[in-house]
Amino acid sequence: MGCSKNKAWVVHCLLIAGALTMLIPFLWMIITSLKTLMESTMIPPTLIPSTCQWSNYADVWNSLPFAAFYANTFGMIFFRILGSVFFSATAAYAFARIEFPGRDFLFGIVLVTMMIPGQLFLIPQYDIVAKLGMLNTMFALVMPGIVSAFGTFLLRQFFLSIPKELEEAAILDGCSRWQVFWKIMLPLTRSGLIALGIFTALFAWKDLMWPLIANTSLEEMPLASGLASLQGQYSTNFPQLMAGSMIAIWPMLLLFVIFQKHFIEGISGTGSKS
Amino acid sequence: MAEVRLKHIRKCYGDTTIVKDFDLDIRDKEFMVFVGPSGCGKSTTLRMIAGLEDITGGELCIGDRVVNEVSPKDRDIAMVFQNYALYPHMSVYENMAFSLKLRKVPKAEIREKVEEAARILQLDQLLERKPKELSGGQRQRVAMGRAIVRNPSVFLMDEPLSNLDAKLRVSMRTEISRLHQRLQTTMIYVTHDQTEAMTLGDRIVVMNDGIIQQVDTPMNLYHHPCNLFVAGFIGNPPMNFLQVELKQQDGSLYAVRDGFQAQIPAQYASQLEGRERIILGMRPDHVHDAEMMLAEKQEIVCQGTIDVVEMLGAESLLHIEYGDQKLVASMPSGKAYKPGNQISLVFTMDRMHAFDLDTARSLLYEQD
Repeated sequence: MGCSKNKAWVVHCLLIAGALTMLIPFLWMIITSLKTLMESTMIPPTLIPSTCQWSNYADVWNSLPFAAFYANTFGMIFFRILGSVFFSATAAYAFARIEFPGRDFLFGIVLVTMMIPGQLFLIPQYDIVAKLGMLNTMFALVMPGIVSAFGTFLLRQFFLSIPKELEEAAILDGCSRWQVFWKIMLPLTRSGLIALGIFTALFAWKDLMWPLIANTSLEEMPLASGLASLQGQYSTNFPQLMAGSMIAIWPMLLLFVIFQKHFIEGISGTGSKS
Repeated sequence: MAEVRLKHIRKCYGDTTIVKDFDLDIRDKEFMVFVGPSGCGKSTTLRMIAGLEDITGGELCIGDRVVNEVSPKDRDIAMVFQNYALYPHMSVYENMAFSLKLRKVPKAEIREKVEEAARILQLDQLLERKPKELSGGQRQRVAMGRAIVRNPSVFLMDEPLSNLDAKLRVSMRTEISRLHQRLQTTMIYVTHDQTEAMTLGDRIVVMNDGIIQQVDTPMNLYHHPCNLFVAGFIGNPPMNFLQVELKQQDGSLYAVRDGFQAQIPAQYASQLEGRERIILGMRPDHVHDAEMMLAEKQEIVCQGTIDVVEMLGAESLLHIEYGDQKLVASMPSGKAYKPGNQISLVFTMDRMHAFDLDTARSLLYEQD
């Protein structure tokens, strides 16, 4: 009894230490966003700002088109979620449940694309979007994110975990293949769909490189690449950058708090047995 | 209402044949049970009837239609699955109404049919619940309700009771029997449990290795098995088998082996004439303790040693070692038997079975 209590203590201490380690950069961001530029670069660094510079938030809000950033970010997230959930779900269902020649080989190719560094896709993607004349548009932001190999893999695991008899019962009840997918399979993978939506939102929100390449106009940038414009080649106004980051971070925090359960289910679901 | 005809049905997966030349006529309103050990092809046959498996060869007719190429939803059948296959995201009502909604049946009619089925199956109070809030037996009833509302020509049931505990299984067995009497619909029921098969079926198909072994009424299967497999499969505890020689003595025919001799009744002697060796079959109910049969003055056929005694309440099962052979005898409880004791046995030879050594076919009963 005593031994297991001690063990629990050790585990809790380790978990608290881990949580603090993850929290410190976040706290440092808040502290820095309230410092003056000079105070933010002082050595040794100060822990508490001498006076809280709330004006950093107003300055950064006025210096950048945050309304456009938010609109672009939410638009990008919305369309990417829509695309990736639809295409991943249909592909995943086919890979999980429909027998067709070369199915496993094709699924292998989908998995292989997950192992290729994303940077390798940048040039062909840019080439395609440029040739379509769609640079500096919402389409450019959305296009690479509407299909997801990870999403296909994730949802395939969910579909595999559903008993085959449910599908057969639906077929006997009179469902077409599409109705089986739409009325039975999709509602049963709800937590997987939500998890994929959250992942897609997260990936889209933090996507920096592609939006920076595809959309060079400040008005067409999402939050992440818009904030990057605060980073100068020779000097950076760290308090303003951190204030901007604070303004940018709240939608994701909110999303995580609301959907925390599905987020965790989604991660654990990727390891479910087929 | 419909009869189901399976004409030389075959099912192959690659080079492996799972169901071989399955030829069977199931009559209208008949309760037909497919029984056999795991992997014998009974579920595959049922799934072919349902349309969930393609038919490799042969012809399947439901009513007057050949349905080989007809999609499952158009075969006018309903199926109850082993794991119930209830839609977890729908309530009991929605589960039962689902197929009718897909067929665009008017809402009022759907409600009427669902409520009628719910009444029959005593599900009235559970219509708003989700499947996860139901017990195993209730889920089973919902699965049957889902089938009933469609008023199909043929009910298919794939081991519907095997996920229930023993007590519930017995009560659900009665429910299914009652349901069949009430609905008067053709039912095809798959099970590996011979008790279910014997109690439910009007006729039973015994299968092994994808081949029909015998199709008959439960009583005929028990009393007149057509081969060694059926004789061993039907009946619990299974039939005893002894390889014996046939010898003529004093004008009578005897089954003989080391320390064993039994006179073959005259009514069977003519059928076994000319044979030197057979497999003699005797149900445990027809193997008796000689001491208990003194009044009937039957001949002792062999002596053995009691190995194990299983007390079942009204009767005791004795596992008896006789030479290198093991026999099971069912004795009425009353006398205390102890392992290690010697016992003299008499057989009710009028109830004997005889099988050919090479073909394993019955030498006394042929299937019609």
